[in-house]
Amino acid sequence: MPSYPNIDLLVSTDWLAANLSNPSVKVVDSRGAPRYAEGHIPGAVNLPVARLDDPTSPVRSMPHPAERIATVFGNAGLKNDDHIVIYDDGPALMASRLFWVLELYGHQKVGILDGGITRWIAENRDISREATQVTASSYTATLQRNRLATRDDVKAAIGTSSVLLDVRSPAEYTGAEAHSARGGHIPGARNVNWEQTLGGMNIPAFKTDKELTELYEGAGLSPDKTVITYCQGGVRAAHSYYVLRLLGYDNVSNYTGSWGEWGNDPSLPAEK
Amino acid sequence: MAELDLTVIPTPKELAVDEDIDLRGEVCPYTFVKSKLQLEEMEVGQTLRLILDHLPAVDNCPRSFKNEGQEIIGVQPINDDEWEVVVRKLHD
Repeated sequence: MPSYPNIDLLVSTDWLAANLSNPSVKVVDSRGAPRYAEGHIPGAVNLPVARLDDPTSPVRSMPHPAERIATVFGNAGLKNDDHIVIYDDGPALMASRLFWVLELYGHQKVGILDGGITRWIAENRDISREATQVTASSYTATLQRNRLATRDDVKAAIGTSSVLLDVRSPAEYTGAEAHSARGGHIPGARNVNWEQTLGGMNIPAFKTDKELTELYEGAGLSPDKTVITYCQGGVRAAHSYYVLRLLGYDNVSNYTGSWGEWGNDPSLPAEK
Repeated sequence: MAELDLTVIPTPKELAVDEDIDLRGEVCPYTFVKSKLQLEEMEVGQTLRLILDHLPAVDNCPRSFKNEGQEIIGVQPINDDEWEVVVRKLHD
């Protein structure tokens, strides 16, 4: 497995296999219920990322407030001092969204399974089709405000030393392709498509530390900078948030409203 | 704060959609990518129903399809957790 500055955030299949029976390790399958039912890592609980979002928020992709999120996590049997290992079956889009929400609400020990369930299956490890019995637990969620960027945070960041990182495709960034009323990007934002962080073909993987460092340095990022990631709806932005955390970035947040909020508000500046 | 208008467009009761795509568990951008790919395989005039549980996609997919010149027939909740978006293919 490659090495990264925050390697603890990436969990190997070997380590997970050796710790499946560890009561302080909780494995979370972030896919939808049907795919979980088709087969999951033994002992994994299912927490589809759709359960994380607040349907009453005017910002469509905003996670639930702390009290509600605590119930969501508690109903999944998660405890504050658990070492949570998240997986999905693709390039960790769903897993990183859950990773971000866990860090957003103060969870300390959380990582993503390297290669997800795809690698697990490729290594001929056991799969279960029985739903894991969950005992609801008490969870305390404490908002880490520095992990979330709002529209006003982004407005204040324009023209400062903070880096706005647009992780959409180049076509979305330039406005050639628009998924909001307007196309384009937030003024001053750099563009590093989230897909450029991916390595591996058949088994999901991240590029190496060296490759990712060069990728982001080429866009003017460095671990000492304050970075705000955004995309269209905060999911790809969470993926890049995770990658930057893996690289040792500490001052990084997700503008979860993203272009879905910004691009639909004609009062906000945009450029192409 | 600018509010996103999740407009409910009731799907006409008599409408029989040609195809469904179950996107529950999917997140952006795959919700649009997969539905667009399915629509590309269909004939002009046919209708595709997307079943979604990812709220940003309920906003983004209709807008994306409209921006591409397709017609949105319906956007409505199925239940507390799921939504349907019905799109008619107007062109290849």
